[in-house]
Amino acid sequence: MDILDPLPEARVLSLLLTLQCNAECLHCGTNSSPRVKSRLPEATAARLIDEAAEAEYQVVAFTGGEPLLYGQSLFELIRRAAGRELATRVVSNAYWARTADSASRTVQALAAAGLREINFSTGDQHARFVPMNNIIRAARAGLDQKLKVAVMIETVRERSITRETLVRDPLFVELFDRSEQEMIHFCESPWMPLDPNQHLEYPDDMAVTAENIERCTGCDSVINTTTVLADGRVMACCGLGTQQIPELQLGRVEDGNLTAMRALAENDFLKRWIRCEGPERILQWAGTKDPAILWEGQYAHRCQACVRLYSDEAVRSVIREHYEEKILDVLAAEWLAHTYRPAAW
Amino acid sequence: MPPKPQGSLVLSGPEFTTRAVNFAHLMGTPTFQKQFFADPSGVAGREFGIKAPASAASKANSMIFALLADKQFNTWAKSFQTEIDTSFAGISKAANLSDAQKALKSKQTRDQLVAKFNASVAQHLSAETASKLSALNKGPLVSEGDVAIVLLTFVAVIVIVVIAAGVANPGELVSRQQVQLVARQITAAQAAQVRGQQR
Repeated sequence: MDILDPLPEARVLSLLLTLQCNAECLHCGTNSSPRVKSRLPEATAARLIDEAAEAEYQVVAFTGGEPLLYGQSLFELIRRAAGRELATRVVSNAYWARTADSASRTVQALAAAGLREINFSTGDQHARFVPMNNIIRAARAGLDQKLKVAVMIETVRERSITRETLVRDPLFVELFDRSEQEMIHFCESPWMPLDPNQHLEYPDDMAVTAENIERCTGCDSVINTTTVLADGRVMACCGLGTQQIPELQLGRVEDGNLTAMRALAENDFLKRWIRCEGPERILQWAGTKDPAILWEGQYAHRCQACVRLYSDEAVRSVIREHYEEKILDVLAAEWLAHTYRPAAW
Repeated sequence: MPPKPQGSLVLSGPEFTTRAVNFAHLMGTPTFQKQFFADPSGVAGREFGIKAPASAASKANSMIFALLADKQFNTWAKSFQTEIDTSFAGISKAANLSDAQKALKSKQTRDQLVAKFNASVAQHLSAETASKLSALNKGPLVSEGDVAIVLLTFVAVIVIVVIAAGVANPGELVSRQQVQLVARQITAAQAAQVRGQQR
C-alpha cells in the first residue's frame, strides 16, 4: 500500500438474510424482532453472491436480523462466497455462544465454511436479550479460529456496557491476555433512534457540531455497499434506517442484477455527494442557505443525520434549489480520490 | 416538527450524467486541470453554465491537487514511503488499514515508526517544528501553528496517527480520503499562506 495511491473502491454486498431476531432492541436500526419472519430465499442469495463476484465486489456481509437463525443455508452461502474469492463477514448477537463449547462449535463451523470476519453487536439493549458473556465467549472462539473479530458497542451517555466494562469483565480477563485483547477491534458506536426528531443523550463531543464537524468524512457505505433485505428490497447503502428512506431503495431483487442496481445509485448526484462529504456536512451547508435548519448537537450517528437530510422538506428544498453549485466540487473530489495520479509518477 | 417530504429526492437527470461525462473528459487535459483548480467557480460558469459561488468550491480539492502536483512534496513522500517499506515491511505489505493496524500492534513498533517519521521531518523542517511533532500523539495536525508542517507531512502523520491510534474504520484504506479529511480543515487564511509558500 503506497501512501499516495488513488483510493480504490471497496464494494460490499450486504445480505440481511432474515429480519427475524431473538432480540428486540429499542431503536433497532433494521426493525428486526422475533415476530418478523421474512427470509431471503437461499437461491436468490446465491444468485446475488455470483453477481457480486462478477461485478468485482470484495466483501459479502451476512447480517440481519440474526443471521445464525437462517440455519444451515448460511453456511452454504458463506462457502459459495468464499469459493468465489469474496471476503466474508457475519454480524451476530452471539446468542448461540451460551457455553464455551457451543461458541467454539459454531465459530469452527463458520470458519470451516470460509468465514473471514465476525462482528458482534452488544450494549445495554442487546444485553437485555443476550448476556455479555456470550460475546466474550464468541470473541474467544473467533480468535481461536484466526478470524478478524470486531465488537460493536451501543453508545449513549448513560450506559452500563462500555468497552472498559467489557474488557474488565472477569470472564474476559480470564480468556484473553493483553496482546489478544488488542487483536479485537472494539467500536463504541452511537445508538440512534430511527426518528430524526428524537434525540438521545450522548457522551460529550459525540454529537456533531460546527466545532467538531471537521472529523466527518464522506460516507463509505452509500453506493459502495449494496444491501438486500430479507423481503427482497435492494438498498443503496448498509446504513441504519434505510427502510424509511425511499430514495435509498433501488428496487427489488427481481428488477435487475447488482450491476444495474449499483448504476442506479451511481447516477444519483445526491448519493455521490453524500459519499464524498457525508450527510453532516450537507446539513451544515443547507443550514447556511436556510438558517431555520438547525442541526448542531443533534446527531451522533451519521445515519440519523442522513434520515434527517432525506425526511426534512426544508433540507430537501435547499438541496433541490442549490445542489448544482456543488456538482463540480464533488466530481473534482471523486476525480482526485479515485483517478488522479500525477504524470511525474 | 419539520415539514413532511414531498416528491422524490433523486438527482439523476440526464443533465447530471452529461456534465459528469463532460467533466471527466475535460479533466483528461493537464491544462484544464490547472485552470479548474485555480478557478473552479469561473470554470463552472464558463464551461458548464453553473452558477457556483467561490464558497462552494472545496479548499481541500485545490489543496490536494497542488500537493500531489508539487514535486518537493512528492519527493519527500516517496522518500518516507521507501523508509517505511524498508523498515516496516508489515505496513508496506498491508492491503488495508486493518492489516496495517495489526502490523503496528506493538508499542515498540509504533514508537520506532514515529521516531523514523520525526527524523524524516527533521531533514525538511526546523528543529522547533520537529520538536512539536514529536509531542504528537493523535488527531490531525491542523492545530499546529506552522501550516507548512501540514503540507509537507500530513500524509505521513495520518499514516502514523490514524493507524497507530486506531481511530479509523477497519477496511478503510489510508489514502486520499484521509488526506481530504485533513485538508478540509484548513482555513481560508491558511490556504492563502500555503499558496504563498508554494510559489
